Amino acid sequence: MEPNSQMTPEQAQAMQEKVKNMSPEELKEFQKQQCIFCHIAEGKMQAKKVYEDDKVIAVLDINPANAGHILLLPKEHYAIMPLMPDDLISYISMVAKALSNAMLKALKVEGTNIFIANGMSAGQKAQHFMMHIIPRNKNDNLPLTVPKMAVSKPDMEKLKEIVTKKVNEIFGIKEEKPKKAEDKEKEKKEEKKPKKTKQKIVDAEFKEIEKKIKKKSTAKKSKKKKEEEEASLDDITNVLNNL
Amino acid sequence: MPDCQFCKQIKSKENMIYEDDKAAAFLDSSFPGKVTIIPKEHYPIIENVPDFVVGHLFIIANKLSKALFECINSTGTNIIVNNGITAGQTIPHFCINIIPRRENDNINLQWQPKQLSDDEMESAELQLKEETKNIGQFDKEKKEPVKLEKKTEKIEQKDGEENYLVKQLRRIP
Ligand SMILES: [Zn+2]
Ligand SMILES: [Zn+2]
Repeated sequence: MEPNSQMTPEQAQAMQEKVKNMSPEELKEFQKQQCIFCHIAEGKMQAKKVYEDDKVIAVLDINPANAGHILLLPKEHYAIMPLMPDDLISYISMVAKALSNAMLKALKVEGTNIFIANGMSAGQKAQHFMMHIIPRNKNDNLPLTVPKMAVSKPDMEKLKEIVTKKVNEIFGIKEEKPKKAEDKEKEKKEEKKPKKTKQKIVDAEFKEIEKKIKKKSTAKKSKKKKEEEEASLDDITNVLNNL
Repeated sequence: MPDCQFCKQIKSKENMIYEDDKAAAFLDSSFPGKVTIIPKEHYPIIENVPDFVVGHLFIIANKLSKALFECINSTGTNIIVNNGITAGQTIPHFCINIIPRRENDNINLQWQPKQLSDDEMESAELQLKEETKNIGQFDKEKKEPVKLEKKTEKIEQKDGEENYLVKQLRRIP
């Protein structure tokens, strides 16, 4: 499946050099030329087609986990799922459902797996996004059960905070942060302070505005930096590494 | 379903990281960073889930998978549906699992390819083709029909002066 496996070391190195200097558009075009699934989608390469329409194509995997293992792919070349537009993801998943249904009827199996590998570390081999639809038989012992490694409560709390923050950012959801104990103390103190006269308050406000204008340019930068620091949160990385 | 673990979790919101009108997603304490996405409505397997809900759930799955890439430094994700007990499903409420991955994380989700004869491949192809002929029509979300309210404008009248609506009524054509 990988074009690299048939190359001599010299050829592989020459190709790497070439790839280094390419723009994203050139890279996609280059990937397409190398991609056997693009060739299958274009009909340039033979495959056992079980479904096809204008947007997607489904073929039998030549290295199946079980007889009838289907690969469902978009005709357009997308290296990984995050690059795909929402409407295509929606469409291809509806076709996946239909194929799973067809599989249950046609092969008289009792279950199916839908499997996606995003990235090399997840086992993605071809650089063309695809969904595996795999028929399951009793006691076929395929390693497709979700692994288990219990997470402690405090680690779950940390994870939840970090993931929720990112999810809200991606979906554009504004979150209401629960007030920290310190802030509450501050508020209390402020309430207790004797009330300023109107003029003093107005003066103070003007000073604040002046300060803000001065700080504006630097504030933007430091805010961004702070966010980056928070997002990297090495402790969760450690949690994941140590388990 | 009152006894369903996922239906309960939708109510309790425990470990919930995302929610909209059709879908909810939770962190799962059985694996670090594992996310489970479910339809809010109770459906046992994917075949029961309406097409447009399936589409929606996978869009959400992709976005949550992106989130895992970006916030817990995973270098890959697996998205897995276990459809049926034979396929490893443990709760009778359809769900999509996302597992964050790293290099050398010792997780094995890689099957050994089976060597099939040409005949076996061909018969699988023919059997499947027979059933995929009718694919193509997908159910779309039915928008709630707009209910026309039968409320008529109430005409309030102050003593002594005639309401403009009443004046309209009195106008002789
Ligand atoms: Zn391709
Ligand atoms: Zn349920």
